[in-house]
Amino acid sequence: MKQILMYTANERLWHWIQAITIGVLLLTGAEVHAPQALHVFGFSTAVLIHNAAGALLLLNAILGFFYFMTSGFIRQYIPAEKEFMSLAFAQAKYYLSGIFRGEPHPMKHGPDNKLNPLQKITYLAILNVLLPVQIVTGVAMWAGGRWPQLLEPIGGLTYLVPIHAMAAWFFLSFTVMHIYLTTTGDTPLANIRAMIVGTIPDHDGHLEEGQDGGKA
Amino acid sequence: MKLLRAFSGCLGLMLLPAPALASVSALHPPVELIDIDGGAALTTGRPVSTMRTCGACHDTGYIAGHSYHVWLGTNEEKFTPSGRGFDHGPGLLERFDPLTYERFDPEQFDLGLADWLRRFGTHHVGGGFAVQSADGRSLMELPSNASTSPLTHVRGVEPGTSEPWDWQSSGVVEMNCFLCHLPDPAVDERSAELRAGRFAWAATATLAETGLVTREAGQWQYAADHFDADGKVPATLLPLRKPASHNCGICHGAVQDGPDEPFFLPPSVDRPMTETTGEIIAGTRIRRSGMNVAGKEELSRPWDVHAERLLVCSDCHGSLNNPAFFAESRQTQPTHLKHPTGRLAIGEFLKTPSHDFGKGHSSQATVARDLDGSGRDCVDCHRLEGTHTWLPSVERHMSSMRCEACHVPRLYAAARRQTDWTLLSPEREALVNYRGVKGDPHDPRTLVAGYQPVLLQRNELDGSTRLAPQNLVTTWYWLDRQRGRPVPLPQLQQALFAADGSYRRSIVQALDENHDGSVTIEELRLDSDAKVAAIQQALQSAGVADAEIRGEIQPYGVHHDVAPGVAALRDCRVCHGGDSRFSRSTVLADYVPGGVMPVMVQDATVRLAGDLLLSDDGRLLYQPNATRAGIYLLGYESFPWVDVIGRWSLILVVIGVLIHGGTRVFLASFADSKKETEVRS
Repeated sequence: MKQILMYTANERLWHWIQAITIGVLLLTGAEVHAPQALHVFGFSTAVLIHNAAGALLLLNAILGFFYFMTSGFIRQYIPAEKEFMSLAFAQAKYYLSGIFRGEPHPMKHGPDNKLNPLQKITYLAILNVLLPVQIVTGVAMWAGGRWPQLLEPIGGLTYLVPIHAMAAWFFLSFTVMHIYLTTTGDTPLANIRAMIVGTIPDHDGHLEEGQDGGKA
Repeated sequence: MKLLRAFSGCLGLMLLPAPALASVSALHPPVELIDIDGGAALTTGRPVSTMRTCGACHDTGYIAGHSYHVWLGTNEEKFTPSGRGFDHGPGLLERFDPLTYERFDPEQFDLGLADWLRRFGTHHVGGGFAVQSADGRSLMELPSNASTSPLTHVRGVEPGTSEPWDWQSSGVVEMNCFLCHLPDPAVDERSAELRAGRFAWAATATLAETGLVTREAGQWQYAADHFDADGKVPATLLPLRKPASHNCGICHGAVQDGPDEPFFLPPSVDRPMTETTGEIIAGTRIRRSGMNVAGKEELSRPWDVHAERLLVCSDCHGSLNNPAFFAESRQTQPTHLKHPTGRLAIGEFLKTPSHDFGKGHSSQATVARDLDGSGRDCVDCHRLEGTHTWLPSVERHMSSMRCEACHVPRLYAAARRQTDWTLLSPEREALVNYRGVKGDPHDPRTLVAGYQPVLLQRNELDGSTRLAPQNLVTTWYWLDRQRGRPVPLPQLQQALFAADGSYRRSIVQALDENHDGSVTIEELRLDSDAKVAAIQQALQSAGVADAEIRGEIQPYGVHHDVAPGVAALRDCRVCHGGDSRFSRSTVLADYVPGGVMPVMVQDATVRLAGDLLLSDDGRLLYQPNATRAGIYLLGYESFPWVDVIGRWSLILVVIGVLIHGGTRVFLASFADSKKETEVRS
């Protein structure tokens, strides 16, 4: 079957850098949060790695945002369809029942339609709320380590750390759900494969409709 | 050739034995010993007057007039109140000290000034209140037949009585220059003179080790053959020089700055710094000392890295106008000046050396608070840049904790934990126990485990707070409510002991729990209302009508016994983790006399941020609370609800994934088998 390009190299690079840094951040963050329970790098090394990974995630987020803005791909994250609610309902219904009966996905999956409505809602929350919260609190904590007086007006780390830790728990929960939902493609590994190689089988005849060609 | 000669000279100096080196460094000119009236002591046979002798070249009036070592806070009009209504000053003389109990009260007669000098004068350099009264009159001019006064009278043999003190006969205790400026002052001989009330001879006795004076038939005699033709003493016999660390140790704490030999220095009231914190100033490596420290084979670090590097006390606590060390106090230095002005020339300094010494900002250093911060702090000598590169958030650590918090990770000696003056031991002393040791710390065979000091928030001079290591000493005593001061020791002894020195029968009856007819050390504790009432009854019989138990916590800052960098605290989990030192309670006392919970003294620079708890076995614990201390320790859960919510969100997601995924797998396998059946049929 012919292949169609689903994710550009930039998207894939952005995604995997984000995935790796979030994984490293979760691991090192867990060690910093509970050093008595987890001892992988050692506390001080874990902090250093955590800070470095956080900086990389921030840089990746900035470059990704720039790329999505200039390429126009950002539109895919914005729930603009008129039938958004009905589509979201259909998607939810699919996950709750259709998927068990082997029904087809309610939405066509393609280069112009990478995210279903539930993904759009989720990513909107992740990228606009959770990630900024983590970045702001993380940068503030890092800055407070260098310039302690900066945090004095807000009581030091007393409020920042709980917010950062809570958001990290939500990130971890999201990551588990995200990885599981990648298995709901044509095959359990189809979506992960697509994010690695960039292409998916052209079930829906996108090539015939004049889309960019993928690998044969 | 010059180089060769210089090298030979240096080699010769290095090969010289230590005493020879001392004589080489004795640059002080010959000294004529002068008595109080200006006569040559060798001729008159009278006691040496340091004010006259040293005053021939140095401005002894200035020196004795300002030094806080001389006045012990008695000349301070403003001082931070301790919270005890009966303290009249911030210093050793007029402030209650758990170690010594008794103090001088200028307003009511409990302990005469002469009594104080005889008992505690060994820890006072002399001068000041030991020479003159508050109104500037010499003590020797005070009328000896005046009505009972703490200045003119001393305790009588019977409790509650007094008798006049003859200052003319005893003389006064002049500031004793020899005590600090001689390499080997005769401390024991000086103490003996003080205890005997021969105050005028105290300074002369300090010369005993020099051979200039000898004690014959109870009188001090000058060795005329040691004086030169001009009646002066050469520097080789009187090698006066700047104080060494062991000179400071005479009053402050255990110092071993001699040869690298094994030593045993147990806690002692005569070494208050060591008694209260376990600090021992020695360059010797712990494993080579004679102290029976647990695991000492592994302890290759020195007791104090600064002592090992040959620093002496005066390097950090130097004279405030010494031009070699001069640095204006951070409290008084004008902010617009980069370099301090007013530095003296050497000659001026030798004439008028300040005897106010640079001091830190310790919890217990209540005298001369206006000079706090005038001593060398760690950052005055050590660079932060380029060090601590392994430590994340260096600036945050430095702003929230003092260097000692990590660089004094443990004290390898016993330190006082509890002092109980509500009952007295058979030796008529307070009941004391120690932390860091199980058993008698004065027995060299007792294994010393050492202890980790508690970290408390200290109010810094710049307005910030930093965690600083402390030892907490908790003390209980009887307060005479009518007179508003602790029950005088003679009255307490009278209440507890019979004339033959044994405990009174009523005391034995109250405390003898095993009914063997005697009171053991274990039974000496007021752990019931009946026992408290019995002692109150006994105190009433001794003339104290209304007595109640008071308890207090006195923190003692730990600033010495600094470990080298390799032995400093490097395991972050000691603070950052579920088993953080902030999660562990510290035992303050083995029992709580009368059930009276102690309160923190109010003139300390640190504050408790935690709770005082009673354990099931009756011990008093201090449970620190990092949140109340205003610090958030990463890795130490201060907000457990965050993790509760987080864990449940993760658990629910995992459960959902397992149910959803499991159903998919099950239905897929069911569909496969159904399809297979259909194909077969």
